[in-house]
Amino acid sequence: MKQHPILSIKDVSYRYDLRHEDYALSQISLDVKRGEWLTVLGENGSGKSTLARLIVGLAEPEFGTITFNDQTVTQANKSTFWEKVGIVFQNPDNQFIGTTVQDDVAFSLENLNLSYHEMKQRVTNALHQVGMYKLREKDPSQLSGGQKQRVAIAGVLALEPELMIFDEAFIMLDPQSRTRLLKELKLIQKNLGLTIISITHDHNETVFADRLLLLASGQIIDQGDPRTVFTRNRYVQPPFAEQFRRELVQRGISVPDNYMSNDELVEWLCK
Amino acid sequence: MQIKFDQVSADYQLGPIRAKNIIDDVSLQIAPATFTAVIGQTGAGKTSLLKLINGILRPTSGSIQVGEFTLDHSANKATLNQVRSRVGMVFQFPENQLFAETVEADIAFGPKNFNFSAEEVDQSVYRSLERVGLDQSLLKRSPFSLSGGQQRRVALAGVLATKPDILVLDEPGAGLDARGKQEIFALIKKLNQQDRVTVLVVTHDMNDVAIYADHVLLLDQGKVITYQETRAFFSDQDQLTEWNLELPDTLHLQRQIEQRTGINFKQTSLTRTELIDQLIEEKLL
Ligand SMILES: Nc1ncnc2c1ncn2[C@@H]1O[C@H](COP(=O)(O)OP(=O)(O)OP(=O)(O)O)[C@@H](O)[C@H]1O
Ligand SMILES: Nc1ncnc2c1ncn2[C@@H]1O[C@H](COP(=O)(O)OP(=O)(O)OP(=O)(O)O)[C@@H](O)[C@H]1O
Ligand SMILES: [Mg+2]
Ligand SMILES: [Mg+2]
Repeated sequence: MKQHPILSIKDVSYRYDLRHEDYALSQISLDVKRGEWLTVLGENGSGKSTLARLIVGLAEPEFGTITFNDQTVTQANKSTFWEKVGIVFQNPDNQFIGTTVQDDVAFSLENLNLSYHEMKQRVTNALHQVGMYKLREKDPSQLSGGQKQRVAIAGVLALEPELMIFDEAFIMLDPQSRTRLLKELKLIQKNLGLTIISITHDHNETVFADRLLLLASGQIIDQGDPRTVFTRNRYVQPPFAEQFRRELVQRGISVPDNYMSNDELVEWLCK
Repeated sequence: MQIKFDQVSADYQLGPIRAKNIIDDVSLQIAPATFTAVIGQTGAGKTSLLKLINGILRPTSGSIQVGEFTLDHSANKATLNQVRSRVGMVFQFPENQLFAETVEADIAFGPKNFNFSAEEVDQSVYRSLERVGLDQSLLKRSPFSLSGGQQRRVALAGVLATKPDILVLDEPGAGLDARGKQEIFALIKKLNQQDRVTVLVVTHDMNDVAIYADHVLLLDQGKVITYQETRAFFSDQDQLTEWNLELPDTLHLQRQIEQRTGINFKQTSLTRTELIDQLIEEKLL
């Protein structure tokens, strides 16, 4: 039997201002499988964050429906999903509630009815995962940009939701920390079946995705595995290896005509 | 304009318990019209260093020379204002910088504040809007009704509109789409080369460092670990390993090829073009 998608978006349209005709999203249809890593790409203003807001019920589609585990998401019932769907917003400053880092992370767990021990365990683990355990007593408002972003990520990790949404949540992390965290998320995804929707402009992050979704002016213009999407959409910046392959082509060097991963490129250059 | 740090220490004063200094005895001279990438791990003090140049954070000891002005513990308001009119700063989450009712008013605020004539204000608003790649139709919109990347561009436009001699930018590429990022960096580079603006850019993206910066400033726990020319910085592999730094994509690829083939390339490639040239020279292409 075919598994039901964890998230199903059907013919969704949305505009911020009902007096105007410009839709931030128009006729979006999309199923996300349980355990899938979907990366959403698109230029500034293409509708990525709007889509995330709709999925978590911060806004409601004007047309169409969004269902999570076969249950319709609305603004009114969004709290039903809060423990199942965790989101990290583009700007972490909008997200802090606690007066210390650890309180802030614990806050997201308050209504889960966990034992004190379990709660503490989860907070500690999450803070270790993002490298913020040492700073657990600090006031979140007095952290550096990257530290704030880590705390916001820890909040979602501690929640252990079924679906995690990251809206450019890694941009202020230093590259090592970013790669380490992405690898860790990949492991959780594989081992525990976590579903991930990641919004990003970072072409190197796309190597973690099972599927890419390409938005432009509020519409889905393509989707598929990274190789296919980057081959079909030449103007979207691909991972570095493919950028390099294309530059070789431009220099008139005869290179295989297909998308190349980093390993394939190194292999070919050293042949 | 030149920037000179003389034994500068700084801290966010928080009650009686004094932690270790956030900026710790930094001495440093940044020549006019240079383009410096400021790098270092989360919490290293990058943002704090930029804030010192702009006078938002005051040194607890030592002094900073910005052009003809001196910023120290007791710098007065007039000095601070003058420094701020010469130093444009774009914050790490620049959307937090926005405040006006319309995009237009937001961008115009700086120039007005620094006594540009009405005509100059208008001119600089339009020009900066165009420079950051935003459409004029956005001028009457509320900045808060824009997407994250659009907000960042508005914040940058507001700073450019004041025509600063020094630009300090905290992760200006973060949150911009690939094209936007490339355009913004090209613009900053142009201001740097043609208008001789002194630029300091905090970035985590080593590709930006390799492609755009002529100097690299590495911070760790508030101390300057090194301040070097970019190519020299990336050429010393032992140092990079010791500092646990990620390589720019191009150089990473070069190192992989060198390892696989046993050939040592003559030069450290900072751009794709340079690497391709060397691959041809080494007969690998
Ligand atoms: N609060 C708002 N009110 C009115 N319009 C908005 C609002 N937020 C976003 N928009 C508009 O909706 C469109 C989509 O914005 P959205 O924030 O979803 O873009 P995005 O793809 O996340 O962009 P970015 O990469 O810049 O974050 C844009 O045209 C934007 O100007
Ligand atoms: N307003 C503040 N009050 C107290 N401490 C602060 C404040 N802002 C930053 N700090 C602390 O000062 C140190 C340096 O912070 P800074 O913001 O300069 O780091 P950064 O290098 O810019 O890091 P990131 O890459 O994460 O932005 C950090 O340990 C941070 O926790
Ligand atoms: Mg967005
Ligand atoms: Mg910072």
